[in-house]
Amino acid sequence: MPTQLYVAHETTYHYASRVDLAQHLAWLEPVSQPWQQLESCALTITPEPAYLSRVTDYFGNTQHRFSITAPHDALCVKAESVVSLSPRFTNVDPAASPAWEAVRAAMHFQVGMPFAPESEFAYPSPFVPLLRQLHDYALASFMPERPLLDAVLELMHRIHREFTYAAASTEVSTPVLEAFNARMGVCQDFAHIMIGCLRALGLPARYVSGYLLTDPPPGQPRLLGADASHAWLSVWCPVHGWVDLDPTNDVVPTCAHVVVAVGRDYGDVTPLRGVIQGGRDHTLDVAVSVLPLGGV
Amino acid sequence: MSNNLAFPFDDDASFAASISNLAVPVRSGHYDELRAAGSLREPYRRFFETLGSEGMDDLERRRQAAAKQIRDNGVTYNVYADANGPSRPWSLDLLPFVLDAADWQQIEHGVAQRASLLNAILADAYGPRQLLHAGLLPAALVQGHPGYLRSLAGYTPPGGVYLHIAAFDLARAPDGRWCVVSQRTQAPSGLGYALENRMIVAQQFPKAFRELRVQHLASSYRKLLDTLYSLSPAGTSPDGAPRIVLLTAGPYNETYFEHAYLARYLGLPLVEGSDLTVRDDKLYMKTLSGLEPVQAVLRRLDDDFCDPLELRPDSTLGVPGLLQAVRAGNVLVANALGSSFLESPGILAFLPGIADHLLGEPLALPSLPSWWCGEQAAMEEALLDLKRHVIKPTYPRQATQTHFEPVMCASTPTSALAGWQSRMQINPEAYTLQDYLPLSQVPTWTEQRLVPRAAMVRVFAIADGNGHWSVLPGGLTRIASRDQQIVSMQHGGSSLDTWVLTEGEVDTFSMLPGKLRPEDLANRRGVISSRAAENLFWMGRYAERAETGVRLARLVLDWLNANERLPADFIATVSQLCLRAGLVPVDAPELAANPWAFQQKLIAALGDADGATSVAFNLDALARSAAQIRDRLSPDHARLVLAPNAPFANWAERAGPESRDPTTEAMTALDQLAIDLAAISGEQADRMTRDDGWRLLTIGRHIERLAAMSSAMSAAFHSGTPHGPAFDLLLGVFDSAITYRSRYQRHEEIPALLDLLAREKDNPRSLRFVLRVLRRELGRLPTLPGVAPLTELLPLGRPDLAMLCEKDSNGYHPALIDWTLKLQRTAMQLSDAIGLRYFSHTHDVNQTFLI
Repeated sequence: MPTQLYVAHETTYHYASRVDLAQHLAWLEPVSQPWQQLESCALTITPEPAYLSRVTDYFGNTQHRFSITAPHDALCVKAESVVSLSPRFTNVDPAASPAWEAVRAAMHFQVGMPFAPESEFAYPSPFVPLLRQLHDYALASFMPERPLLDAVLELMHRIHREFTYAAASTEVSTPVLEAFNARMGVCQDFAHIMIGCLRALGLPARYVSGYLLTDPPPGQPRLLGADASHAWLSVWCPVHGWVDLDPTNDVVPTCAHVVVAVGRDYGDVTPLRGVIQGGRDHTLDVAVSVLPLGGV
Repeated sequence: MSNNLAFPFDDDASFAASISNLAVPVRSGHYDELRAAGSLREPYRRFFETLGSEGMDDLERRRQAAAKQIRDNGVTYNVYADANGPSRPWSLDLLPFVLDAADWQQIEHGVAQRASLLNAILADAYGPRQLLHAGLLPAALVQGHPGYLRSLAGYTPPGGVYLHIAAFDLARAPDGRWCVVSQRTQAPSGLGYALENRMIVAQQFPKAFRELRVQHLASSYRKLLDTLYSLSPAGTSPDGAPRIVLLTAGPYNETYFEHAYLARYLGLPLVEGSDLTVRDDKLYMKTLSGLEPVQAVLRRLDDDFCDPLELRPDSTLGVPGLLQAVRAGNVLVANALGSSFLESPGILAFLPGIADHLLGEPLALPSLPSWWCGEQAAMEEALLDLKRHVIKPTYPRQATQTHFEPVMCASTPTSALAGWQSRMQINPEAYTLQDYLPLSQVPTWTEQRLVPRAAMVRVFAIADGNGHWSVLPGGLTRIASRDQQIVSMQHGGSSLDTWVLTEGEVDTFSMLPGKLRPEDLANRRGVISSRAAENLFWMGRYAERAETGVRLARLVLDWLNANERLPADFIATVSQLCLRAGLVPVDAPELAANPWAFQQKLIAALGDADGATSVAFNLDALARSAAQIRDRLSPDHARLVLAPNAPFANWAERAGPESRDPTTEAMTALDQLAIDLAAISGEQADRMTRDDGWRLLTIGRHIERLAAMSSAMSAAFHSGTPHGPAFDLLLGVFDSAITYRSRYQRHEEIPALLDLLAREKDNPRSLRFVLRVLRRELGRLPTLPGVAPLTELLPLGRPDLAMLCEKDSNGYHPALIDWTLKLQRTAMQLSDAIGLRYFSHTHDVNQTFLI
């Protein structure tokens, strides 16, 4: 029985001085997947952009591009979506996944052998460099011949246990190593750290940007990161495909996580980015709410 | 066979022997370009014979002439004007590197083939990815390389051409064979330097250049332009010709000189990212006459800097939205964005297999043997004999990754090599091993000897747009400094002109302009980019602001220094004037309560470049604006505005509480500065062409003057009618004391004062004069259809004298204050409107933005 969710994501910039020209990219429209049906999505941009287009990006996400050529002091972008979610990852059997070394080996180049397209997510990316520290941290869970998902789940438990979630403790530009050393961060850091751990071992992992149900069903705890946009990751398993993991909450998402976009890291799927002329300092307000629409 | 009568030798053999005697022997193990088995190689024999013994005696003079030419070129492009800026790091040796036709044929064939191979790899990597699926190319060198731009996957550039220019660094092995050491595919440098070297060296050896049948270069540059024109989307000009620009990172880039040189030679506008803007997926150049469509960009900017919206967000050098304009098919970028992953040395190891697969033929010109460590077997093989190799990074320098300079294993201690080996085991993909290659050595003319230097030649393949590449018959030869084995211009190396001899006809096509016809002259007025105009506008404003600040500071210090007791209304006026001009901060001590402290605060603020309104700050800002448009300034003007005024800078540097007589020292420094500012004003008024660029500078200056003078007048009348010292001070601020005194002597008449400062049409400082200049020059700026001219923002007519003199019952001048406030608002509105209309081009022409 699918769950229908309504998502409202409102981003407001107030500029200290007039902006003459603004060009933006947004990844705010949830993708459709077999287990996630996008029922509707409306984007409201104020002031009205002189140019707006909607394209599918390299990773299959929906991207909006817009520019505002009239002088403005504030920008408000509101995305309202309705999605129907079916439960997923209900039959994941960690023991059935192959030994992690086999997955690593499949990512390696061999002359004359076809490549695995997932290897793209095993390389370092701008926000997730290859770090010796992450390799060493992760290795404790990756005993020889251990089934991939078994090891991955333990890594997630460890990160959840040993790292502190602290809202506003880091910024988008905080290097992953800094968050790792402080053992503290927001959901983005948790995701980047775990992606970095997996890639350092040669395993493909990708970043997932999305939302969490704001208020959980009765009797269940409210999840962290629900009042803003959320982030987690996916690891590639040859048996189960891409398996999502939310180290911030130590869960494998079932039907409280709405996926907006996937990429190598935050930089590929930033909810809203842009280049403006003028503006100088700015303040940013983000408000997210995710509510069930009956049919629970 | 030479028939030169002055030839003092019996035969060629003895001349050749004497040349050989001048030559310092090459290191063993290196190929000697000059000699073989004790005698001169053919191309050099012919070169020196044509030169003859007279020519040999003259080499020193020619060397000096060539050096002078390089210096002059630097001056022409104003590279030296900024004392703090990068100096010109160019060095050229006199003797050309001479290559015979047989050598060249081998190179030419191999380079053309390789360019077409690399283009095919790009087409595959951004298209079907057959090479990845077939296991011929590791994904780690494509998607794993930061230069692979995912957002361009699926996009095919016009004509399928990715590499309009491909550059290759070639070296000759000890056995005489050529090989490719590295590939430059994103924005190769050197085409401008190769040209400059040719212009200088050919001039020094005209006879040898002609008689040896050296191939000319001009046709290749013409071909490059033809290719760009033929592949560009059609332009919107009446003849449909596309507009092509050359995109540079700007004057602080180390190869900026070359960009300027090349742009001028090719006849393309030299632009920076901020000259361009993307609207509705189309690229435009911002000019004073509006947005002009651009169809092609020859870029000298690396990929990741080109579009801050999609690539490096911290890049201020690029054009936001450029990638989208490219994808929409509205603009050609040469070379195509996303081509930099081919620069990795790791990819060299896979080219033989790819050539077989894609071209069905072997590589004609081999690469330096290379092993990419991401391939287990290759790494193991290369590690067997590590000492023979050089370790290179597979990936370019990135902020998030550790990076290293190439490691020559032969000269690295075994213990250190063990460290490298263990690092390579952890992250093998990041390392590539290459054979160490002893470079061939070419003769240079050094202290009356022929001294051999290790050399590498950068050659250039140019696309014809129809799937073929031709090779520029020449190139940029770079040589190592005397005892170095690494060839690098940064490490004290130098360069040579590269002469390619031919047995066929020499193509004498020339790109240099022919004689101008009278009808050409009318079209010679170039477009003025908005960025240039904006910088000129701010140059005008900052120069005037600095001048006003200096004048006021001198007047005030003079008064405070010479007078013990000053009337209260004067003190109020001085405080107001200094505050409004930003000479003292708002929290400065009260002048009335503590004149000494106020004075010290004022002096300290003058030289504080961090204070956003200080004189030092205005000078810095003036220099920054000027640096952006240095090519438009005369050398004198550039020197005045770019280098800080030395006495003032020295004073600001050491002024402190310990100075014995701070006021006198400050006054001396200000006096010196005032002379420079007057000289700048003279350069601007009298030595610049009256084009729209100059017009913006003049408008900037007068908007500033309008704001400053109307503000000063309202400050002087702030607390009633000025008299005594306050009256004199106002005259001083308006720089009108001499005129007033010559007309009215010591009389203190408010109507006479206001007439001179507000209504006089011949006094360049009077507000009416300033408004007239603004009206005249604003009226001459290009107008945009449907938009009211900016002159409508100016008040009409001159103010009524009776109205200005009017006093209310408390002795104030409300009408005058009101009028000056209006003028200050006008100045602000004008500045805003000019910015929107001419600089940022964001003003919607259908709307009226200003009231």
